[in-house]
Amino acid sequence: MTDIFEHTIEARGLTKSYEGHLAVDALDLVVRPGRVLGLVGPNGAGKTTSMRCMAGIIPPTSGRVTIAGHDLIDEPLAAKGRLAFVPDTPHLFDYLTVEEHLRFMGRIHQLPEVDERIDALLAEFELADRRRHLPGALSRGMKQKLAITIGFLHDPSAIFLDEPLTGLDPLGIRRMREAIALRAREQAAAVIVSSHQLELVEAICDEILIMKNGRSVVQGSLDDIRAQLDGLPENPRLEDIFFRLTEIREDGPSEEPVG
Amino acid sequence: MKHVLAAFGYHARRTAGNRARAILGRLRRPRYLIGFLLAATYLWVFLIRPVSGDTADPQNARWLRLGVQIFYLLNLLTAWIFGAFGRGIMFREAEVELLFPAPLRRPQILLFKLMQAQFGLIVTALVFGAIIDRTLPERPFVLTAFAIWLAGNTLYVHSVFANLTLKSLAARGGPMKALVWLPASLVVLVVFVSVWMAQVEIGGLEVVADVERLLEAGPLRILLAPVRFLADFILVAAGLHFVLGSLAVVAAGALLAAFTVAADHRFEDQALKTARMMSRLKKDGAAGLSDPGKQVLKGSARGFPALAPLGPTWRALVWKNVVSVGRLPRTTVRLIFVLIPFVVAIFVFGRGALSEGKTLAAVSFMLLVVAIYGSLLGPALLRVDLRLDLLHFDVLKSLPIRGRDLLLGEVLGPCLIIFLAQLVLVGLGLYFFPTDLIDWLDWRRKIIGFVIAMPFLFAFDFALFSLENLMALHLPSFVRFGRGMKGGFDQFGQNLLGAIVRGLALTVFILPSLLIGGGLGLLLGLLGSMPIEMIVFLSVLLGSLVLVFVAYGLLVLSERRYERFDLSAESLGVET
Repeated sequence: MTDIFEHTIEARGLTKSYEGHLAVDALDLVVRPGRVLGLVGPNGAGKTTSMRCMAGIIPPTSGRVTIAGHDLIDEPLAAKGRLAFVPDTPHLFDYLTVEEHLRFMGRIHQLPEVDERIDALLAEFELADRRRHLPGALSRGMKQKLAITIGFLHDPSAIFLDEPLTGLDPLGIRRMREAIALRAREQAAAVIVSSHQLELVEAICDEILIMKNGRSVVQGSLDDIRAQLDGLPENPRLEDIFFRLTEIREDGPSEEPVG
Repeated sequence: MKHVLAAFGYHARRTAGNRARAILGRLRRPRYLIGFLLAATYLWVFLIRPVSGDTADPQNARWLRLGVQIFYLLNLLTAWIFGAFGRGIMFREAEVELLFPAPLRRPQILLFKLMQAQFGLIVTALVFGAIIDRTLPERPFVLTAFAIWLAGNTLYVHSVFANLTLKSLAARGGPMKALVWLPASLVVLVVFVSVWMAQVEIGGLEVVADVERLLEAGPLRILLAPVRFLADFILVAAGLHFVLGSLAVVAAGALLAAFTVAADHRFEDQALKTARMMSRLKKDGAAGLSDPGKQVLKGSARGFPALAPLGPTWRALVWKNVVSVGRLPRTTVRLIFVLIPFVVAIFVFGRGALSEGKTLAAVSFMLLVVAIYGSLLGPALLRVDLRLDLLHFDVLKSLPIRGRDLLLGEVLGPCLIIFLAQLVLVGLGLYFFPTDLIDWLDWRRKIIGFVIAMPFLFAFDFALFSLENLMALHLPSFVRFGRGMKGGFDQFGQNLLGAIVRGLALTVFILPSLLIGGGLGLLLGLLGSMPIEMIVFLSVLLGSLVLVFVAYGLLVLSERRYERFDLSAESLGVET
């Protein structure tokens, strides 16, 4: 069962630098159970690096990340046992079939009754007739679905989705949106979705965090952000806010955090 | 821990089974089947086929022991020389993205890598066990294969240990970072001191004795102690000695593993970096070694003369290919600039040329050898021609260029680069060669030699590059397309098949052309009572002209094939 905490995903002062380049600069964010946070920003803003740090793929240079109350550095197994990360480009084991991927990850997570879970997930993501296929025989969209299925296998409390809709067909996109909403609503999972598809983010996310140059420019619900900004058009969309906060303007870059 | 082992065991088992099934399934396609059979036949006939006791050469046992020692020595040393640059533990992106966020500790992920390596280690043990069995028929095959497998595991752990230790030093920055160069520097020093002390006559008749002498000399002898132990364990040890040897190898591996676990190095950043590099390597070949972020041209973008807009259309393609060759990945260029002086230096030191005052002669000789090898290796190394461009065939076909011009342009680009490099090498080689070493050699004859070499080298390069491009056009299944790297047993067979086709073409296409042209020149020279230098020049010139004419003729004849070529109908050796 999903653990309930005040903040399922919490990052404090998350900083990551590579060979002198500051990719993420003192990022603070919280995602409560059942909430979906949209992480948006221009290319190179540090979204993927932030997600990778929060998912335990790479260690942060400084700062702390807790998943369902477990510190990612001090209690890595407890924290990682409750999270899922779905990358923007699915990379899979070349010589494991669809079903074997799920069985393997099921064993890693020590899941009981894995057969029922696998059947249900394969049906949900329309992969049931591909269960014996190797990744080489799958389309880009199907690989993406398999990566998502692997992530959802252990009913994670914290879900990190990096560009989850890339390569999916319209039906797949609809299913994916429903799946995210279902995990948040019924399983109280905290979800972070990184995407350039601002309409999707606007539609499925409860809160938005806009990043630029590794820093958080603004965070909050869309209404809160609208209220914080002056000079926006009437009924501004996320797209208007995004360009307002990330574009280089005549009077210089708008890098100062808002609010 | 038990569930992790069970999961990893499941992964290794299923992967091995599916991999074997995939290979067998692919053999249903004729080209893979032919390739596989050729590779298997080659391995069987030349490496594995048992030799009767009467015909087994006892000298081979000496060779074998030497080969095993050198193999393990290189394995141990390269772990410390290249350990800081990714060797030892290379993750795939699937491993990073699926295992790193999973509830696994770092040692467990390393254990996964070791279990993943078992397929390769077992196959290696079986193949090398069979090869050794051919030379040492009295040695039980099972013992040899088991010993190779055990040693392979310990060496794998050793390379991971070296890799993580060096990476950890590099990550600390400051003066500690410089320490990663220490092992490589020491190794180079040890090799040179040992070569110097041994004064080996490399290239002499007693090669085995020379190399044995080299390995026994100076500090190399100390480095060789564990290697000698491994060679004895694999080739000689039996009974109690074998059991004790096995225990020692396992203990060494366990000790290194314990050090690695205790250090708990943070390898995640590096793993992500190497995983990306592995993906690029698979897709882009050597170009993938460079970080895409660093593949930005510095300086003026107009550095190369603007050939493209002027003259015949084929010149645009030559220009494109020359520019592309000039932008080879820096890693490749650095490797070439490091390797050539290293080989020359070893050669000079090894021959004792310094002490005999023949340094310049040795260097000149090496430069000439490298220049000649350029013709043979050039077409394999510089693949900036149809072998890259056929993948974008739809773009090529949309260009307003006649087929023959396109083919000529594709061939000439890399051909000119190799030819120019050869001219520089031959020029330098002849310039530095001491005239007092050979009676008849003077400056006049050096210039004549240079002039004679020019048409021959160009014609030979043009013919070989034409051959490679014609292969790409007519027999695309036997050619590696794109920059990506593909391995595997069946791919080895494909390469072998391609080599056979190239050999046949060389025999029926290049040699007769040279003979006809050369013979004609000789005849004309003799009839005209010309001096010997002029006869040679005329023969080489006419031979080269005929060769270029024939090669160009074949390109022209292939124009129709180009026009009808359909990429989608071909089964190429690359994922497009």
